[in-house]
Amino acid sequence: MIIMDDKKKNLLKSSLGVIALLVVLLLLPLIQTSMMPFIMNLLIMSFIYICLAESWNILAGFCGLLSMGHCAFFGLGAYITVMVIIYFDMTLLLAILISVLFNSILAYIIGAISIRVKDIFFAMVTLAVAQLLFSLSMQWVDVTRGPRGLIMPPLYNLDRRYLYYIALAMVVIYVAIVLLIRRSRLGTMLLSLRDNEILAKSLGVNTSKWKIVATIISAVMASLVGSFYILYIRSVQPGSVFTFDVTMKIMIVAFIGGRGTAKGPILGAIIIIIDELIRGWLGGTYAGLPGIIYGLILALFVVFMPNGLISIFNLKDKSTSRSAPKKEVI
Amino acid sequence: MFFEVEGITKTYGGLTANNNINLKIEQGSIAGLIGPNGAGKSTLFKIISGFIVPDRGSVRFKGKSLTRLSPHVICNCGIACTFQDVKNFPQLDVFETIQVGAYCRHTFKRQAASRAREVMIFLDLIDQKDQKIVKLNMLDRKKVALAAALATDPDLLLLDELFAGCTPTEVSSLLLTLKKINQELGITLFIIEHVLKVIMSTCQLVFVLDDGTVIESGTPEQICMSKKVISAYLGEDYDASQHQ
Repeated sequence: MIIMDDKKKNLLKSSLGVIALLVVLLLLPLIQTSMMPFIMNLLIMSFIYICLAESWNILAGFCGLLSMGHCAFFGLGAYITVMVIIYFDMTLLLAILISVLFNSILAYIIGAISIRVKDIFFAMVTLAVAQLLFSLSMQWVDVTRGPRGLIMPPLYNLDRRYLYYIALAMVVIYVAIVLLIRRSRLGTMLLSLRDNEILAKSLGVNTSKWKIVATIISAVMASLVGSFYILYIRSVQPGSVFTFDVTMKIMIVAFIGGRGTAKGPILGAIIIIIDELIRGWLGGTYAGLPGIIYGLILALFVVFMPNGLISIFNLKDKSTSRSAPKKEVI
Repeated sequence: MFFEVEGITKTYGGLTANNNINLKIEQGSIAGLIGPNGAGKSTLFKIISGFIVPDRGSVRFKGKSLTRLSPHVICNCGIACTFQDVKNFPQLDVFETIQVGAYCRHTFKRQAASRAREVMIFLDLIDQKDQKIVKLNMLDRKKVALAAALATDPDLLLLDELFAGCTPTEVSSLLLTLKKINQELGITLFIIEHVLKVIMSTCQLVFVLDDGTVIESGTPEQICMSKKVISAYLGEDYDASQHQ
């Protein structure tokens, strides 16, 4: 009984914290200062990376499939959305749907490959796909305008405040999706195949099917973030979406927050804010220095806090933490 | 025939792990598989459960050929197995581990959960419900593995050295559980075992494997007296009559 009460108390405490944070974030845009656009930009960028990290987490955290080319889904989402609008003159909603469809097909192909290859090879396959899309977007100048990228027609210039609320809603929905998956059949199946694929198979788990399902869900989530990105930034270049930098940032957010956890990326997003701030202050004068500081922070985290920031909150009851998915080598 | 293995052969390079193995098991019985180390017992189990594809031969279960099917399909057909090295899901608790098995027959979480609870009550694991597997002792880990396999509602259960490393008390308690599984649930058991007490007291039929072939089959009493079995285990010169 005591354990139950403790659990309830913890739940109450954490849900109060979440509600307070949400209220602050909801009311923030109402404040009128000259700093506001800057702060909102910081927050929207963080929201984008939280969502991407959640999507990455479904593969890496739940399935143990390390996606090193997650920017491919994100970038493809952005590119196809804007391309459909520019070249086919369709509505935004239809464009988003088509980009989701393309990403699902890509994810299906990658998922089908992932059944055959293991661990590091999956990372290589995803990395290769991202690289392929980078080259394609650079070289296929007639369609993608190469390194100059594509620009969203002015028809869809939304107010920054709307975009902020859309991004916030996406974060809430994405965290909820991951939490729901953890509690659902899908989550149990994915965790079982991550923990011990042979045992999972012997218990009737169709591991190939669930891996493909997870890859598609993850890709669709990343694709939607891509569609949002093009709405917010209003232009897309190969260098801003298809580079390893983007994948790296996604992984860093997930790692620093806590790999395999739903709430981890929210904490991990602090690194995006730090990154943007460092870039803002030093970017022009000492080129390369932001990267060094960035890398140093990551290295420190990997060594001293391998389970991420979320482990601070889980210290009291380590047994119930869902982080630290150290894979058992079979 | 309920379960039938026909001419199973598997070679690894020059080594023949299974050589033309034939055996039949009646529904509702308990059959044993014994043999010296390296005789090919676990290989045979892995072939039956689909983890190893045999070079030749077929496995038939309830009139259906299982050869070349994937492990999860075979599990769906009604054959569950436990492994020699007790496998587990380090990140899942006992309840969820058993639920993985229950999802084999149930699509919805509520049904799977109630099935998992049923099995836990049956195997007396309900107190360990929320424990992580890594915190359990070996006996409980084995029971969880057994429970997860049971949760898949099998007709035939393959147990690979379930009793290895158990104390005599644990052997007795597990033995009771096995008899309960066989009698109350009507599940056919096929067990690999080195603990002879288990084989002698439960099996109706025993197969002896040596160098990849079935050298003898029969009731436990017949096996004990078989010259072939004795020479396989103890060498040609051993005189059984002196040690009875």
